[in-house]
Amino acid sequence: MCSREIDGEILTLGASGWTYFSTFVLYDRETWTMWFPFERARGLTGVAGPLADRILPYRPSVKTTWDEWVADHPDSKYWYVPK
Amino acid sequence: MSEFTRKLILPMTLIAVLLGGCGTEEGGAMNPMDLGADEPEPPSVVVTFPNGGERLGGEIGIKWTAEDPDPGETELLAIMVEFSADLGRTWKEVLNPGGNTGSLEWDLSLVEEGSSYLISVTAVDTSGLSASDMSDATFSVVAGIFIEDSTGLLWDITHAVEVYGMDVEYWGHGLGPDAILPVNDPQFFSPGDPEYPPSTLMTQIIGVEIGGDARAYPISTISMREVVNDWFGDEALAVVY
Repeated sequence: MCSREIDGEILTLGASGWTYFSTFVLYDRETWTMWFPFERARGLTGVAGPLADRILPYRPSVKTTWDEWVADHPDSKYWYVPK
Repeated sequence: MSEFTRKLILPMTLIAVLLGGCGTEEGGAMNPMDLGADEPEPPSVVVTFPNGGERLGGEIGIKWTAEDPDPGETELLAIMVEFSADLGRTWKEVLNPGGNTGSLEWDLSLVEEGSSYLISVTAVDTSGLSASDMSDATFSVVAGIFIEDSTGLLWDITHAVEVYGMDVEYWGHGLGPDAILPVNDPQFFSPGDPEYPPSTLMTQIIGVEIGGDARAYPISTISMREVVNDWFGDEALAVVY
């Protein structure tokens, strides 16, 4: 989970179709900057394009299982993709 | 794509072509130079990339298709690849060690920037008959490191390579930005919905809670779409995995 707001502008992130060492390289539709999740970085890093060297900071998220998550967050919503 | 015979390599070839072209002559037997049924035919060649209008940089693959109507000759065609940076006034050869492979790597960092580039490919068969084709229009060479994806989009990754050391050879797939579409209007089940998953479900999820608003994103679904562009109140966030 990361922020997608930079300098007051909202970015729409997506997969660029490229991978780098099998990790997906993302891009944003507004500026066509390419974003990459370097390990140990504090956010997605702009690696090429107008927003190169900028960071989209990560927000706290946890990787867990639904049963554990819902036990702690009984009001949690659950994302689905309509068929 | 224009196709024309540009050079006639051997005098014998010239004669053969002239004879072959004399349609008004009555019967080939009258000709002392008649080569009979085995008279070789010239090859054909078409430049397919770059074919005009492209902006290119870095390493590209020059592409062509070359064929010879004579049996077994297509594989034996000698292919000469040339480029012009000045609208065809002067030509230089791009060394082609591979023969009629259909493509040739060309490192554009070795040539000047410019917008008047053309490619010419000449195919010569074992009889010395030849054909040439040129890019239909000029293309540009620009400085930088570019990678082209399968949709034809060119990505300038100069900064990624030079600043972050993301070397060209480790970039892969290049399926284009529409191959996997992000989710921009995510839908959620809430407690009480008939489809709301049971609390015993052990599906792996990414869990986020901001200001009391808790949401779970199943990892298997994220990995199908790569990105969920979501809002938490007025905060724009993206789930990426």
